[in-house]
Amino acid sequence: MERIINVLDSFPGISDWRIIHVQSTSSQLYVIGDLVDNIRKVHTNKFYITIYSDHGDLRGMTHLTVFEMDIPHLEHRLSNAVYIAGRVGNPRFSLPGKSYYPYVETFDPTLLGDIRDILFVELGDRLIRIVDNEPDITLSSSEFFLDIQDIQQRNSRGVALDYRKSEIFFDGVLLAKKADLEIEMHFEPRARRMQDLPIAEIVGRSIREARDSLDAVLPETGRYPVVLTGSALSGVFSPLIHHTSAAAQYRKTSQFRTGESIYSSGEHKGEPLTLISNSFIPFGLRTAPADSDGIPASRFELIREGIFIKPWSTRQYADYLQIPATGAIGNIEIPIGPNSVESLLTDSRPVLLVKEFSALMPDNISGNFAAEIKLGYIYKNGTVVPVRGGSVSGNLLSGFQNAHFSTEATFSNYALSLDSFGTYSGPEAIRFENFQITGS
Amino acid sequence: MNKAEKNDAAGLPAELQEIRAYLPEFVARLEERIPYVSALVTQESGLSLQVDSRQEMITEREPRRGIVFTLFNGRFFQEWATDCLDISYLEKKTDEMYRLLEEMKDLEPRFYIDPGEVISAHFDSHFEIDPDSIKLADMVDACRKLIDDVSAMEPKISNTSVMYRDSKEYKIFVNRNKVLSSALTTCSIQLAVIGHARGNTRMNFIGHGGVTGFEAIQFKSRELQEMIDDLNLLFESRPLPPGEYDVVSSPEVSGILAHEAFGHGVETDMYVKGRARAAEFMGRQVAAPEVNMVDDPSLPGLNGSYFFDDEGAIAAPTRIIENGILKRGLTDLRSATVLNLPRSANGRRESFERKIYSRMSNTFFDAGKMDAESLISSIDDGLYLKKSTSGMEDPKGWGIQVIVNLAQEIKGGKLTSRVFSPITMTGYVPDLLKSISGVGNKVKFEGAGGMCGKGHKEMVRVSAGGPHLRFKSRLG
Repeated sequence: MERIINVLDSFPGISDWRIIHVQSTSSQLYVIGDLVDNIRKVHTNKFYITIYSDHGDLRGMTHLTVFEMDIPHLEHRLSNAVYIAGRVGNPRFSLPGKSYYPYVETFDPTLLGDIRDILFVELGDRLIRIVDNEPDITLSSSEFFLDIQDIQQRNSRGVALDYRKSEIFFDGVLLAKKADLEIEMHFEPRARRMQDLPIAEIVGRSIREARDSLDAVLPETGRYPVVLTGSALSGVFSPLIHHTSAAAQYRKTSQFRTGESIYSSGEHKGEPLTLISNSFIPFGLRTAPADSDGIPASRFELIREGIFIKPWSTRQYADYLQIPATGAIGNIEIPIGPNSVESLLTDSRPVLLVKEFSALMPDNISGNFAAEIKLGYIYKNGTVVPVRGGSVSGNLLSGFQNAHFSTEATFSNYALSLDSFGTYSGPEAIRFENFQITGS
Repeated sequence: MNKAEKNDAAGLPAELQEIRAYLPEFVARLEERIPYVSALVTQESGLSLQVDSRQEMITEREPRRGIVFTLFNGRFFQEWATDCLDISYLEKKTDEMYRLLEEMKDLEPRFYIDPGEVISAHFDSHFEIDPDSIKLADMVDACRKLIDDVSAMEPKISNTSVMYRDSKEYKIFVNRNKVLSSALTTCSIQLAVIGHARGNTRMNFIGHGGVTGFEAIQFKSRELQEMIDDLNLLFESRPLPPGEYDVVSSPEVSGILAHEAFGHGVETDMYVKGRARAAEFMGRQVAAPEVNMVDDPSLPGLNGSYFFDDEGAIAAPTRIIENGILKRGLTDLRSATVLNLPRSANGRRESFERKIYSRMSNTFFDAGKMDAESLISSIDDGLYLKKSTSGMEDPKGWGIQVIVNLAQEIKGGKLTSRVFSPITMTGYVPDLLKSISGVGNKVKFEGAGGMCGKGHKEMVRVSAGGPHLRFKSRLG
């Protein structure tokens, strides 16, 4: 690191720089049924360098990734990077400087123990034993990842930050069989610490859902209330994250305006949405002492009761829009609502509760989405019928115009957008009134 | 695939040539104590340009460079991987690999790995214009001009963006019988327009690219106009009344059906895990008799093309469905060994940091006999499914989830101006494939190609395509 910094400090054409040094160890176990398929150990050591080069009124920047064995050739790589940055012409922006970084919890020290013991005994064997006790359920496959990263962030303006983070991820597939019908149920929980992965609870829930899937039918076609819960909430906030970003404001790809209602018609019938970015949530997947630029962690409102308060913003876009930089978006927090889950599921019409979609991948720009139902339940006239197949479609941006939030809260780690996971702290269930259900 | 097959590896950078020369002896030494060892070196680097109406970013693509040693004890694999390609470092780590063996040496072998035929070869992909030969300033100017030209075509447009990427991908595979290496040049471009109207925001995009040179990424003015026309249609679109429809799919939608609805289900690592219904249908009718489906990494120029897979199998076509009969699956080494299936060159990994799985390459419905116009004119009341945005596999249930972003009404055999978006295509895969009643005579691979995940991870580059298809589908 010292050698790189010394070279960057004196290299011609470099006006500013940033280094993120990441040393990673990934321990991986792959199991098919109850037999080991593969055991992997991966070591990586990378320096992610960004250089900034000012020319005229403009600032160019470019990234390069340097491996340890590249360091002797660093000057050559930097010459090329300076050339590239010189071709990039964006308005000038600044870098954050030295700052106080809050202590946030990102690392589980229990992972410093015997990794093979954690992988085989605490994760693999435990999962196998739980499923072994269920006669109609088999474990198809499971994959376990324990990743530890040591991160050092530096920049030319005084940012100096070191921290460690851990991530545990497992991916399991159960098979449930009844007569000739066999279905699979997939779970892929992810957390920063072991105690946030209660295997017995996660697998038990999946087993119950797998059994329900065996009895599931197609939902009835129509427009009736849809309640999303569990992993079905994954991806729901992705269009909101896009439209509340300063980058989207600057690039004119957001339809939200600061200080105005997020609802296109200006009216809402349900409970108004409040959306908070929170980088402090202990062991949250987007919890960090600072964002990648070095802006300290913070908690702030993006949307308050349906009004767009302020965008989340890296330093570059904050400078462009002349607003304070919040840093990159953190974990998502939504205040609970006034309705019990039970009341959200009660209506004179049928209500569809979706627990899992095959994949909810909305168009972030328009908010449009359409997703196949992996498992849901129809609540109608006091009966509950499991459903799978068919789809739910609509627009997530206008959907929040008539949404209701549960009083019961949940704390979960989801794919908050297509390319990034994060922690969600908010209502356990959200009800939308205007989605189309396509089924039988 | 167009290739220069040679015994020397002059197409590799000098440091990789050195490793290629070193690895056979190193693998042989490890095999004195381990039943089967292979090594895979990958090195990818390239350039990425993202330019839009408001800002620009040029950067090298994050390089992926590393080596993974695969050790097999007759029961299971252990892998040791690092991003350090320094030979002296690898020598120092030999003991660490032997220690892995010690932990597994007492197990009775269950499988034998066939190391394949003896072969030593190097392959270079074909291209006319090396992207490295284009001056960066010229490339940026061309992107800026394209953005200006397109933005001027339609006042609704609030942002136009160009994403250009190129790469050099080097790969070396070594086991006791094989020393293989390749140098692939890839190039792709995607052009997107975002527009605002009546409080709504819509986006449309087009793209080109694959294992090819700079020559393959030019847009024709007809394509630009069609992209703008489709953006305008998206503003006019309405939700589709749910139901079963007679449809004609574009090659793009046919491709996503081939890939998502069926292709994932014939990746045979899913057979081993009991996760693929296709395993029960081998040799059985799964589609209409005129349906043929192929996976072929050896096709030149496409996004899923390569010369050999990550386990040293030489690329060749696999005919998955022949005349409606499910004939073959796509294998990786382990699943082919365990299931005693013929090997296909589909053992792929996201990078040296990840495990091998059975993966698709270029997957497509093969051509039939009808032209696209006659397929459309044969529909009295139905839809032309023009653009898709995504799909999701369900190998166990053979359920379909394909999201269609733009569908146009067909009335009396003609396209009308009524358009629908977004649409979900759902149903049971064999029902849909058996309903195919017309297969177009031109196979196309649309777009820049893309990345495919296994579940929600393990990204590899792929492409998908096909001809126009006529079938019945449940849409909503």
